[in-house]
Amino acid sequence: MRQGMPGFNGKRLKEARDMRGLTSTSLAEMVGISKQAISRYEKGEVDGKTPFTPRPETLDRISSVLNFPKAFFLQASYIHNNTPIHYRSLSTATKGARQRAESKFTWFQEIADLLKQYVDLPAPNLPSFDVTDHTKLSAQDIEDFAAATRRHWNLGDRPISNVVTLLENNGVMVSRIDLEADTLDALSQYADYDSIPYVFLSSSKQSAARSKFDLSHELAHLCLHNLLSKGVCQNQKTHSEIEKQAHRFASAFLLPAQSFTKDLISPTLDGFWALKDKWQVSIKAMIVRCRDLEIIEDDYARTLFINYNRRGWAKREPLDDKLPIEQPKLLRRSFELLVKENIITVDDITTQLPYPESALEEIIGLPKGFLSPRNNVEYLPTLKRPQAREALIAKDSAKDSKIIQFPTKI
Amino acid sequence: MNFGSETLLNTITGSISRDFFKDVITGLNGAHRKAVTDCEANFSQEVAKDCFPIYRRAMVEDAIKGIGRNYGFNARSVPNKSKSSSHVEIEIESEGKRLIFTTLAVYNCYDMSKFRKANFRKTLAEEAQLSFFKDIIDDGDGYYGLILYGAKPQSKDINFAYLGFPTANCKEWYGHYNLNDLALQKDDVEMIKDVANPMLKKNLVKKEQ
Repeated sequence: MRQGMPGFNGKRLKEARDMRGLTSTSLAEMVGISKQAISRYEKGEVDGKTPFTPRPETLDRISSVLNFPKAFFLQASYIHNNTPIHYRSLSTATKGARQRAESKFTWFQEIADLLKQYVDLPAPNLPSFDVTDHTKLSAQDIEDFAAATRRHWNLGDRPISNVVTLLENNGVMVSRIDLEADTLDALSQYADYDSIPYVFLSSSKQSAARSKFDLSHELAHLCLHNLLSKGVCQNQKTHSEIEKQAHRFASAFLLPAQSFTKDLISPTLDGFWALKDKWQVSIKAMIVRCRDLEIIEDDYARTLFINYNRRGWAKREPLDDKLPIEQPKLLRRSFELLVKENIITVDDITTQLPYPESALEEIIGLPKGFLSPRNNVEYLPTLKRPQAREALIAKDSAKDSKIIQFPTKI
Repeated sequence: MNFGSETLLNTITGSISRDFFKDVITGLNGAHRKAVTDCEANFSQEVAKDCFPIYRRAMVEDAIKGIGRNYGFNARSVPNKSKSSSHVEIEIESEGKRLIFTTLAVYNCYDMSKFRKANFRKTLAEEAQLSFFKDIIDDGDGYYGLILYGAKPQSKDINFAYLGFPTANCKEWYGHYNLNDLALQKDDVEMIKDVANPMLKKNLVKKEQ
């Protein structure tokens, strides 16, 4: 009789494999089992009366190869929300990239669920505009909703110093992680069981202005598109319309027409550069905003974009290295509080949330090594000056090194 | 975008209102536009091309002189040594220091090729900025700055406007500031207070140490 692993969850294996971007064939090779076995584990096929599960030693190998804790594969799957996930992504985003992001997004929600057992978080306080048919929204409606959102939070029409803090203050769970794909910028979802809004922001762009816009774009989905069905949001045509509306909302929310245009003295690249420092919105988004508001004509906007590209700003805009990127704090603070107050220990966290520790740290925003201090090198001494390093290398190589030739093919 | 010492920047922003710079940009744009329109309307294409720089200079100098006077600064036309032409200077007194500005159309905001041809600029730079050589900026009696502007060919708008402070030898910039930046009130923002603090639920049991 087969000695399988009781409680093994095949869906978790698929999730972990997808997360590592491995095919079942390559995983099978790495673990030393057949591709069919992987497939049967994942599908949870039944062998006689018992489900087909890996033996304990096989699970050890799977766990080691995928670098996931063993407990992860023994944990029940999280019940997914039925509400749509909104992606801010390019159409080139692959299915795999989306799946990986979605898995991490689920972990994020599981982490928050654990947290909510111990701490009270700010209650969600987002306006909802009861939009059931997005096609009926005009550009002016969206402008009005963006202004109403500012009023809802008693904000004037000046630049917003920190959108992450604003949303966290109002009950939105925000996390900044590496979405592992340049084509994915952000995603958001309302949890249907407790109406908590969640937002994932990509950390890969390293631009405060872009990130601020991404978050405002997700805010648009949470306020404007929260009543739309999954079908509407996933349909390619309607998805594109919804994305355009979210863009317009984000622009109007971050750059209110009246105050922004009052600051805009000359709609030139240098003029936008100066404004970026204050409004913390990308130069590209400001050009689009001016075009939407009909401050500049299409032809002029095109000229600006040509010169924008010539200056190399499409890759990296000015001030991107200077403006500080807004960081979420709520999750991190909650865990630090629980550990500090001895409500839970670090071991409790890793036991109850059996994900790779690095992923947990990233999602929660904890410093690297917080969950596994023993496994981390806390301080790596480095030489201060490159000259000193070169001098050492020179000294070292002069002492005992010799040049070894690469073998040549015969 | 901007570079230069804090002392210089503080002297500029401490003594000149942001609105002045805003009006200067608007004035430069207005003068440039009018020059383009008038030259196109009144001359053949070839003649328009020839007279445009002179006509625009006149429009700009006139506009800048008016703006300077609106702000109570000493704005005047100053003839050159041979009295064959004149340029507009705006002189601003600030805490015992003098700031002197003139205008200059350039190809790009760092362009110095035209700059050294005019003797008055070299003289102003040497006289006002001699102290820069000695690294005793605070003891100098003034700063000479150039309102630099330029436009793409056939464009009805200027595409940059800077305030540049040349070194006394007129070969480098001591300070260089985007006028759009000087015109902006930057601390005027909605400050979001960080109040997202998690609270422990009541009756939680602490772990034993």
